[in-house]
Amino acid sequence: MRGFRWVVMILFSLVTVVPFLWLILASFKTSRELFSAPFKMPERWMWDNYRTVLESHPIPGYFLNSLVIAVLSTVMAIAVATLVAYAFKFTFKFKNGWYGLVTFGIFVPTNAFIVPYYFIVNWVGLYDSLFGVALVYAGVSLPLSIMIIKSYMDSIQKELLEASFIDGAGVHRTFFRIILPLSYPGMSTASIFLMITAWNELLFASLLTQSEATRTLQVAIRFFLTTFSANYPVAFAAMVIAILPTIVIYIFLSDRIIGGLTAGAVK
Amino acid sequence: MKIRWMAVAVASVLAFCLVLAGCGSRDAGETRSPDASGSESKNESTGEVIELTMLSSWSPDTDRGRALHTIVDKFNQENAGKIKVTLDINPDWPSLQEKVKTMIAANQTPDIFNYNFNPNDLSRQQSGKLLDFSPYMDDEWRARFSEQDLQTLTINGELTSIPFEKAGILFYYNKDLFAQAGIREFPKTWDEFFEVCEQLKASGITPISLMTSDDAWHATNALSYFAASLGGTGIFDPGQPLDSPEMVQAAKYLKKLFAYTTPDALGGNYAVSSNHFIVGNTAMIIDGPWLIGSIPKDMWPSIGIAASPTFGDGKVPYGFTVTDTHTPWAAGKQPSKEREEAIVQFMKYMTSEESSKIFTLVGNILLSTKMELTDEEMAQAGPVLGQYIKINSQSTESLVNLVRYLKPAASAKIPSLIEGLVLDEYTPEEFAKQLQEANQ
Amino acid sequence: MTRRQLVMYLFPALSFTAVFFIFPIIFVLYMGVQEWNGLGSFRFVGLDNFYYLLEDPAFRKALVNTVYWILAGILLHTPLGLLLALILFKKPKGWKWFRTLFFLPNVISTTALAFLWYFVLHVSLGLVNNLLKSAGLDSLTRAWLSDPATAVFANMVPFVLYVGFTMVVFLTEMSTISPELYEAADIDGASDVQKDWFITIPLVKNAVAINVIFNTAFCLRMFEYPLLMTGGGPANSSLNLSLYMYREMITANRYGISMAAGILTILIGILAMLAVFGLLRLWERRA
Repeated sequence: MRGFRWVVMILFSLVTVVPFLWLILASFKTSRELFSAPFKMPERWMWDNYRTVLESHPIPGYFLNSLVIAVLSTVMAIAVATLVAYAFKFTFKFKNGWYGLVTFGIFVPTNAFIVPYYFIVNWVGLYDSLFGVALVYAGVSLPLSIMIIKSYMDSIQKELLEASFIDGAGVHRTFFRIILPLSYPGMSTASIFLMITAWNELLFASLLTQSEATRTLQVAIRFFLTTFSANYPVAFAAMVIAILPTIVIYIFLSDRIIGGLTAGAVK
Repeated sequence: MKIRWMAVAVASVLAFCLVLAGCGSRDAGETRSPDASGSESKNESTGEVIELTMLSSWSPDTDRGRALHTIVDKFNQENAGKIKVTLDINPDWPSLQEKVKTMIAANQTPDIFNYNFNPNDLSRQQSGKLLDFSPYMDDEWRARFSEQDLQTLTINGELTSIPFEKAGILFYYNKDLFAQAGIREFPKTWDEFFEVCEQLKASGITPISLMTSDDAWHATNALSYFAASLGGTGIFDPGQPLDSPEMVQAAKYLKKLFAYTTPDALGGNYAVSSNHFIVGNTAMIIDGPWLIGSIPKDMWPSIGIAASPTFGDGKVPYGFTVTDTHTPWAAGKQPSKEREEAIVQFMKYMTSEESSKIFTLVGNILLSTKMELTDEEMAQAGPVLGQYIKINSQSTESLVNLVRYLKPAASAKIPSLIEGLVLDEYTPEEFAKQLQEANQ
Repeated sequence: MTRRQLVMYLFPALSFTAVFFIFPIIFVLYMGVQEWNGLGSFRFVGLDNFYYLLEDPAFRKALVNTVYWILAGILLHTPLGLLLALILFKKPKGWKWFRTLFFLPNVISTTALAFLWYFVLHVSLGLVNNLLKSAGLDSLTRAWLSDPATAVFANMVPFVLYVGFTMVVFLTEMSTISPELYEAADIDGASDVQKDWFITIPLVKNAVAINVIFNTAFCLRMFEYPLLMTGGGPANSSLNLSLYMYREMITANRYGISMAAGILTILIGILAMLAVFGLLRLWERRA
């Protein structure tokens, strides 16, 4: 049994690591080397590739754009979801109906909505803006956020609420002082889902932005393999540069990130 | 306490992001041309710099991109304080085209952009959102172009595009690899051509680079050459059916050609296909002049350019060429006369003889603007570009690559049709029939 | 809570839902029966778009492939995530590092992963084929991405292998299981496998539900892998609904057909979700 476990773990580790190692290796080659001998060590370590990338592409800018969009959309979605989840702690007419209304979106493949979203964003004048993309992400991830946060909030006993009311706190104060702090685990779980989804998203990011100033990392990566500049190793160098900060931040924060998910569960 | 600190941290990150989002979004004021009617331009006549945005796919890591940036920088310098042209580069041509179409639909027509002219897809011209250049086309400017080009681009009496790039597509071949297989000169007939392919294959060299992904560019070039060789250069004229016996034959030849290419040609894109040739994995490729920029200088002596083979039956004259379509510049309607004139001034600069020479010699682009190259300048062009210009200028008859004439629905389908043809899912008859149907 | 307060708390969510779900659905329903090329005017064509879709072999293949993706999500991706979670739950040496490693691909752009695996699966330059060759298994090499029989499955490889997120969701739920249950099982002499099967798995039902739902939604939307690895080819063999819609709209400029496909995608999405919920409920009842 023990052996089996280790075999599985090693296998999955290899599958995860080896492609990246190859990517890094390939990024130091020339195009010729890549197409003739893709697995040999490069003759000369082409740091030039990296220089070319850094000179011609504002990678930090792309990174920042992705980050801004991810943070904005997450904050918006979480804020709205938390408000709604609080409302659902009370009883009111057609409560289930309203709940269904705001969460049915989970089942809907939102890529069917590329055209309407495009028009909405244009109509409000937010085309080619980071805020526009963030807004769309927030809207699209709202149902899932509501579901997650509500399920965490459900575990907050009603007695706490009642106690707070008896103490004289109003509806709003109860929300801010009591409910909100207790919901942080749920909020952080949902935040992680949202940030990762927003970070990796390609379709809407490429549809709703145009200029280089608003390009996200994913859209930029897609364009690294431009149809005319057929130099894959340079594109790989660009990818490595683009991915590296993510990896570094992730490794440092992984405990907190995954811990956040875990903490949410252990109540 | 910890929660307080976290809340403050979150709030400051949020504020930071909001500020960045504000800066990140395009300033909708000067550079966009929203609905042309009635909106005021921020740049009135006195003193303010007119800012124009030019959309292109020519990124500065390509020769043509470098040439374009050079020209634009020069223009901006010469017009400092009056006009400033900013380049907005979206390196992926197909998605740039999609983007431009969506922008036109949303009343955000770019100030200046280029596109592939397709007489069967005049949606841009008919949108009513493009600037008509005819009032500005004075005799001096007119003399820069051929009348035929101007006619072609005049739709409904409006000249909404300025002729710019019109590249001939020729056969590149690797002389070293040919020599290795014992081939002395480039074949003149298609029978010889396939013999050459066999010889190359026997020597362990992959004869030709092809692709089927994206717009299947190299494969459609081949298809167009076969079709024209069989049916003459009028084979794609409007009204000609795409399921004619000649087209079916052409499809058969295309299928035959795929036996002589790399295993990743099926599903391969332009980068894969062109890389194989540049790296020396394949001996031939059918492409436009922009490929020269990707060929390393030390390889130039090994590269030969040739005209297409024919069937030797007189259907087409030897030296005929398939060309890419016009890739003209167009402009969105502007809210003010000043902006219109600025655009015209910029376009005149772009199409001047001096600029044309820079585009050709530095950027490896073949233009439709008239230009006389001195011997010195020809020498400057280098052996490959020199050959290219020479053979292109000797073109006897020409026709445009089929794909540039197809309706969008058909051009969306043709890659999968070619793949189906190669994989034996469609017979050549079915291929032609489906293509014809999709093009209705 | 008073009516007014209620409205205040509900309002933001309701307006988001209206803008991002209600309006688009109406839009899509309306556009699905029109013909439009994006720049001109609309033309009402009734159910023509739907007839076209049902007759288009490319659409049918896209439909089938989407179902394959969803099945891969439920039958391959989720169980693999569960397997890894079960292994890491026992906290073998260095398990934290493994956890970090397995989650890593989820944090890195799917776009980059798609390009990466394009090269790994490349017919002549790729890792897979070259490894097989050097192991003497030449006959097993295939043109993974350009063979219509394997293209769609080749697209799924990175999705199926990179299960870090699913794994973490399982681990989270597992950490809520009271250790006393395991201690009791130890006293009874249960083996590891028995503990997994009879204690752990039944108690992570919620995680299973979350993962299955999330992965199903993800597969319905799947865009990057088919687009960047095979472009939906060759000959449309690896198309899925998402890519089909995108192509009809962006390349072929047939918005009406794209929206009609969108409507069908939504319906299938709803059906898929209902099926998933139904199955989950069944499982719950049986246990």
